[in-house]
Amino acid sequence: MEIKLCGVGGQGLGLAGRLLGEAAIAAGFHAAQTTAYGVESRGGLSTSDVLISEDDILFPEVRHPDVLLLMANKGLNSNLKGVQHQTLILFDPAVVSDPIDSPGNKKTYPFLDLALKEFNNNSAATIIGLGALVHLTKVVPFELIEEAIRQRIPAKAHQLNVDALNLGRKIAGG
Amino acid sequence: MKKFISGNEAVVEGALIAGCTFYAGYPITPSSEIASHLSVRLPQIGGKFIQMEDEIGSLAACIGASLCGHKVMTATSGPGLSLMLENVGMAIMAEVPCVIVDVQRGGPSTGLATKVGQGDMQQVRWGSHGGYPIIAMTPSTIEEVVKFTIEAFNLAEIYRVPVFVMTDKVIAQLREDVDLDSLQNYPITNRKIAGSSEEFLPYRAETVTDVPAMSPFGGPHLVRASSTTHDQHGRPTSDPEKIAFKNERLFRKIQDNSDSICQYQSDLMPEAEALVVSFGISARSSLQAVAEARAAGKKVNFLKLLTFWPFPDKAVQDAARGVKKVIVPELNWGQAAVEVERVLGSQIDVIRINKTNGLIIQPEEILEKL
Repeated sequence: MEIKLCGVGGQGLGLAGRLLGEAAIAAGFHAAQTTAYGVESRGGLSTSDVLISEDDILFPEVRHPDVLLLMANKGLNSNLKGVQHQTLILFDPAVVSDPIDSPGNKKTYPFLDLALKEFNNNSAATIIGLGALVHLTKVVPFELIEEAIRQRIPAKAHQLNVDALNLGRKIAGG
Repeated sequence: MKKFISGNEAVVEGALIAGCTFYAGYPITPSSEIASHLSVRLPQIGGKFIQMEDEIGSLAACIGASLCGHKVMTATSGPGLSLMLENVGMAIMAEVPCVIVDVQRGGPSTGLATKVGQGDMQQVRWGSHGGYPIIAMTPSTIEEVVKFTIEAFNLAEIYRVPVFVMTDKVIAQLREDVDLDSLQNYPITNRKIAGSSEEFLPYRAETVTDVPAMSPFGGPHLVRASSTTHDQHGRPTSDPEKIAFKNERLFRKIQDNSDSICQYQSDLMPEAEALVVSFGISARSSLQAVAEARAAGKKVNFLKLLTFWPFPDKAVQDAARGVKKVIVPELNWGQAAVEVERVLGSQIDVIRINKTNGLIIQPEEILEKL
């Protein structure tokens, strides 16, 4: 499965991709993650590509995304490259303009609004998005993402991230 | 258990498995995680970590620590490598084992701090003045980064030379699953140490391929390490015979052992019509392209260079036998291609795929030429 997480620096896309990869290898898959970002520490175009496979991964970048999580409008056109009819596209219409001309199975959620209302923390938006993504794709067992959060994120932020992840699952119908 | 580690973390794991106890460096994107991890890990095992004032001092500190008996490493990227070159020459001439990791980014000059390049491959070969052979490794998976960092330490110790581990921005931050436990017992080689009771000469060599035994500073022997052309005592010499012996030995200790130093993976098929030769992250693009070309019924050979220097001439000749064209994808203007052309002469068409826009080569760009 090819998953592309797109947004701007500071949104935690690299971390979200790493959590996916760690959950995938805990589930017995091979995983590869690459990141791309600019020289800015905040606000520059940032993407995180995650490939999860039963076989060895030859080329480690996403070419034909099965899932696209769009967290910002920046770089939208290049992020939509390779999108196919069946690609699941998750985005927040408050921050991302509808990729109306692009193929794909589009689903919209108020990630940022929920992050601010429920957690008073805009960085929680990406983890909410991750929760929705994992629930909809079943790419890895949900509890392995929770476990990856406990392993990877400092203890004081465990609960917030687990809560954000579960909120994502809930809004996606889980 | 498998871990999901990055290329920079893999360098750290490899160095620690190899027995590295000293790191001196100056932070530079995209290599800095190597320093930041070792600043935590080395003190935990009684090793030393120093952040130096610049890259010149970093390699100088490594040379000093190596002469005291440590296994040493520094890491940098293109702009820092340019500053290190003077001391690369020092390490060559004084015959000091050390490992230099070059996490390549887009150049020239400051270039692209956060984007990929493979433009330092000829610089590490020729960058310091005077002429010398060099060893450089080009891993392309995270597991290979661990293995070839260990190999780099082993070769540095065997031949008393600086050895380069050439990665790049994408490999440095690429995470893949690696079974680190299985690599803990990877074979380790240590430098030859002179016995404490024997008469010691710092550059004792019987033949032009000998590598002199070392004795650490502060140990039982008087030790000289010199960047001036020297005799076996380490004293400056202007005797043409001694000069010739030293210089020929520096050259031949690597050249005569090329076959055992060079590592590569060749995946050949009968009646292949094309060959793809690549290294590092571009080998990952190539591997995908070759797999898709074969799935479409094309007969394609693939050669992945794991040692870039000494250049594996024989492996290229073998892989190119019978093919009509050779494709060399790389993130520079043909630094591997010129070597492939040198090896194959004008007998086979060498097609270059060169990309320097900060992005890696897409498999489609290679498929187009196959």
